[in-house]
Amino acid sequence: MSAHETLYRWRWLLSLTAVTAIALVADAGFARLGTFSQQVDSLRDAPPEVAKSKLFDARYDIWFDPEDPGLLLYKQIEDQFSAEDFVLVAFEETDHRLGVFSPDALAVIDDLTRRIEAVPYVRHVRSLTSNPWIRWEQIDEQDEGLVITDLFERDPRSYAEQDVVRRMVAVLGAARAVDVVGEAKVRAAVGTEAELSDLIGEPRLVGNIVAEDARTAAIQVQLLRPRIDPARLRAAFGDDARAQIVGGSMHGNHAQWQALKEIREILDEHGDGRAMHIAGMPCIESNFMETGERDLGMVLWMFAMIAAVMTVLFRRAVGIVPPLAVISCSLLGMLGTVLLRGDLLNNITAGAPNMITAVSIADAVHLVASYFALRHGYSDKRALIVEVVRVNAMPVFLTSVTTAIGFYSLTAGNIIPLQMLGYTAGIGTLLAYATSMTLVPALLSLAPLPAATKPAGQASAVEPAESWSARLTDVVIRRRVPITITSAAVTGLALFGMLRIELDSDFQTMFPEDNVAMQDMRWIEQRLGGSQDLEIVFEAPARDEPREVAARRQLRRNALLARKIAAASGDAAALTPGEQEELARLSAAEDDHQRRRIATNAEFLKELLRFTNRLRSEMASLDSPLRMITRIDGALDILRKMNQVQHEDRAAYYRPPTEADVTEDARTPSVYVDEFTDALELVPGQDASTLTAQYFLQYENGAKPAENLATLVSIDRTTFRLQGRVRQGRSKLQAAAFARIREIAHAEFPLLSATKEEVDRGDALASMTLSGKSLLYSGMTEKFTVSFITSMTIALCLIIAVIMVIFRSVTLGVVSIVPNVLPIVVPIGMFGLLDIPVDGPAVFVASVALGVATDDTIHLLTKFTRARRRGLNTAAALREALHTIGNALTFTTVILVLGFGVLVFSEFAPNAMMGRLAAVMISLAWVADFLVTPAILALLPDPNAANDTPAQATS
Amino acid sequence: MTPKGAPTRYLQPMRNFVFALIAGVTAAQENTSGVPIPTTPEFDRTDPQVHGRQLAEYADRYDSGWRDSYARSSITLFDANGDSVQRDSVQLILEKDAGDKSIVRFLTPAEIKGVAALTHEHPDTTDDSWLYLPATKRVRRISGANKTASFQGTEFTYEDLSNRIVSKYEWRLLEESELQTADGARPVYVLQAKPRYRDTGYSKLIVYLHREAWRQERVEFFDRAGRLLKVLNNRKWRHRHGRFWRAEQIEMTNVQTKKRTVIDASTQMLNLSLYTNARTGEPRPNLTDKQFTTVALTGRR
Repeated sequence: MSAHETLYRWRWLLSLTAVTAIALVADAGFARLGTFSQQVDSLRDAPPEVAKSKLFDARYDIWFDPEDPGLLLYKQIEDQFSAEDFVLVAFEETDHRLGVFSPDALAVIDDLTRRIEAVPYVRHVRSLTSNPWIRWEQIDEQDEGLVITDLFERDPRSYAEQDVVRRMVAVLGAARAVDVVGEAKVRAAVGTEAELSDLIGEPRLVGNIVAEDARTAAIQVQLLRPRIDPARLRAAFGDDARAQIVGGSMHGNHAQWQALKEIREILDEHGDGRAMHIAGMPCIESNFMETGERDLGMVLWMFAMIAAVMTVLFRRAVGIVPPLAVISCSLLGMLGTVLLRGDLLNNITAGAPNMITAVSIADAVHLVASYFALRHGYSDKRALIVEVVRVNAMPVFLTSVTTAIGFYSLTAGNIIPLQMLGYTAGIGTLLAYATSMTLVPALLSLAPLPAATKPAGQASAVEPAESWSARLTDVVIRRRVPITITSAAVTGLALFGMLRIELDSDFQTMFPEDNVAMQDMRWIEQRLGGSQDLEIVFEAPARDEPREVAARRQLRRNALLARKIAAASGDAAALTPGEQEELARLSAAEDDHQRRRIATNAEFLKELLRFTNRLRSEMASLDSPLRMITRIDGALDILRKMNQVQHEDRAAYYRPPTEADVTEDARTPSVYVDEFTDALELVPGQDASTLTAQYFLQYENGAKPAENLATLVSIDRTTFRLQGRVRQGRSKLQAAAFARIREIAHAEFPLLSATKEEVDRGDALASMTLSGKSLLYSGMTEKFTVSFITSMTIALCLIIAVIMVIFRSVTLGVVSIVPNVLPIVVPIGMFGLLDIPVDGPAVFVASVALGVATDDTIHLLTKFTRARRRGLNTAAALREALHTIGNALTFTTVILVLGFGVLVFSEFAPNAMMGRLAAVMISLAWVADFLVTPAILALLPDPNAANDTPAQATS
Repeated sequence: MTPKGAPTRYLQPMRNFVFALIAGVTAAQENTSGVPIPTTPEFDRTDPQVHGRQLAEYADRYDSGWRDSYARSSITLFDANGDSVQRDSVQLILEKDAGDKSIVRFLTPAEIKGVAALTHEHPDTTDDSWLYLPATKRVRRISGANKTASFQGTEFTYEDLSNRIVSKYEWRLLEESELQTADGARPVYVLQAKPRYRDTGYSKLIVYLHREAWRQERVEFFDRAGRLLKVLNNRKWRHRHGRFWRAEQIEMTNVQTKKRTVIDASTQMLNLSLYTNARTGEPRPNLTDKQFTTVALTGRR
């Protein structure tokens, strides 16, 4: 008894086993998802009664190479400073002459600020009414001094107009305030003797929380991505390390989105009926999530389309039920396996169901089509189905192997979602094979066989010569030369086009025009500049010593220095030569220690000021790539303001402190005797660096905790962070801006952008690294695509090798490149020729196309070589091969093209593009296998050329 | 630097033994401070709000009469990563009915050595503050209006450090319970205090007040959204002169940002006249108003 007969005999047991196994895996998988969802929700302050299923993995960091320096820095920033993102809430006031400084607008800002501050996971809110107003003013009758308060401390409606204008000047500066309210009012507010040019305002706020023309105001909200401590994670997720990581960061995202939702509710209720706009990275991320989840509904439409097309094509339940059963089982089994492993879906693996639908269709439809083709020749159901299995077993197995190779090759790259897609779709492919070979024969055997109309053993209902495929084959063979030349030309042109491909993506173009999140973002960016983040981090490596060692050294050195000074005036014993040498050694070490604390190093700050000025002037230029960057802020600007207000608020002092700002008699060290300890104490010599440290301390002593330096400068002062704002736009443009920053730094500011080793040696001041989500995302498309193309190339080579081995022919292997590559290369090449930028998802649909194209090719070559081995010449072999598989391949193609075509209606542009490309590529795969490959095969030398009479075809 | 909000306790003789058993204090010291403990009033146990306020008032009265204090302490700031920096400082406080006066002077690190802050607290109006920077050698008036401002970049705000004036809060006794601390269980009153003033960073405080020692073992600060923001733990209690309880270590942890500040007192003197100057052999003089002026702030003499 042959294997096929065995399979038939045990078909029900095998099917039952397969279905049961899949059901068990799916059940366990979904149970695990349920548990996980509850565990994630248990981290919330108020866990919901019914846990919402956490099917999607929303972590941002899985998209990037774990070793990417930008990502590493981003994580370091999260560890060292704060894990958070900002959103901007903005509105405009065009009617009132004070703009957003009108009492009503300020009242709204004040109210919203307070309400948003109270939303969980909001770390800080900065707005016109709540920001540190650093100034020098009269404190009481006797004294004037440094004051840091909120710009508006009381109900903003309670201020006289003059006081409001004074605050407007403090923010916008006198010149811009004159443009808004006129010189008379500004004069009335700031006094007649004030020098207007000194009133430069607060550059940290202009173009940030208020537009230059005072018509638009924003509220900047810092949203924490809360991190759960390990003990609580262990309590929630047990020892499952992966669940701890995924669940912990998922909680962070959900917390942010929940906060975003509450902020939106506050805006609706308390926005005074004004049109409120909200933008920022969390808005984009949640927009992706929401659109992605809504888009999952498209899979159902795709399913419905496939069922409808099959109904039209087969018109019988026996033709429709088995493929749908295979799709359902493969999808369920695949999803179950993924979930059971503790993985979730992400925007990429969410594409796996589409792919596995395609693979399942291809497998099942071949069996069903053979059944329809053969059934008229059989009176014995058992013999028919055994024959159906026999004819298809090999090609379906081979196509499954090659498709699985294609998918598993994705695991070669180091991009996690692609790896996950690889193994997810790989599992799905194997499940599709297993269920096709068991369930389909079983289900087919249920259908009654119609009365035989042809003698047994006849290959098909229609003679090859009469079928449409045979007629087509004849045409192709006749026109083999023009077809080959044309397709070679098209492929060549496409390859040329591929060289010109521009990898690019833009969040904006991924959503329809009426997407509210994108409209809001454009509205805000028009008025206030970029809404995305940029991090420029400067670092000097701290001395390789524990903190205690440095502290002891400083104490010892200062004690020795104090004695040396006291000895000069005869108040202490002179230092021994040994002590003098020790003092010199300790002083050198101390200098080295201080040099690395760049945040208080006057030399570094001076150079940094030059650098930021350089960047800012180029940011204003429309020709520079830097126009994508609209702000660069940091602790330097606070320091400049501190220095300015302590020098009669003169604009010339809006700079970091210099040596000249240090009182002359403070520059040399002095000593005193402590009245409580009687110890000799040193007052160290003062310089620009100590003054900087003291200004920072003074600022921190007055600012709200959320406004202190902790988020700007590391605690040991060796890390200095500049934060920028980047405009949304094409990733190419963003990447060019980041590259330009590096270029300027390396070419003109080598002292700020050296290697860590150079800084360590003392040859430079600091090293520089760029990061931020926009930077990471902008580099993603390219990395993603490169990794994907590498995997695809590996897959293609492996598939060709497999083809060469199974058909024992190098020639066929080489020929098979054409139908496998052409369908993918041609559409993508066209993008290059037409200068349409290619986005990640567009490339990634190629793996579906490769799977389908390989399927088609293997079916064609199997039938072709079988016929040739029976002695048929090329023409006859082609005719027979295309006739045998013609219906199956055409049906699969029609089903998949229409099925994927449904995705064109997706509101998420990458999915729509995926549907369009898949439809085009799968159609081209058909064209390649029906026209191009036969034409090339017909051009090759024919070993059976002499046999011009076809042998009896028994398939 | 000592949190002046931490009340102190005098052991009532009758309870000495019981307390020693409960709190693990081995021996009760004799009250050598010369300040008698105020008599315990009749608490109104029917209304938790009234009861709560009475307990807070009594704890406040309990901790008065210490005159002045001197402390040398190290302030260690930890970021979320556990990286830290340390600053050493000296703090002088003069107890005054009309608001305490205090000076904080930094000793390390070198770049801020000599920076000194002077504060005159006023129970009903804004405090007066001055800052001396050695690099400019000038005393600058600074605004004391912003109570929610951080104290020298630590996790403490001025609001946390200033006397919690009983009348500025709405009190409520939540329960009497045992508080588990690193040093064992403590019998405590759990009090809720809601600020009644506008310039606050908090919606409420939960104060764990020791039932016998009348000292604050722990305070939990809730942000304006009502979420737990910070936890203050007072540890290593010392019974100064057998009368006043002072913590040698206080730790403020921001549970939202995971940053924390630990203040360890290495030297603590309460009522300086009770100590002898080792050099002269004479009792130390008490601090006077003259030591809390802008002239004294410069450290020049």
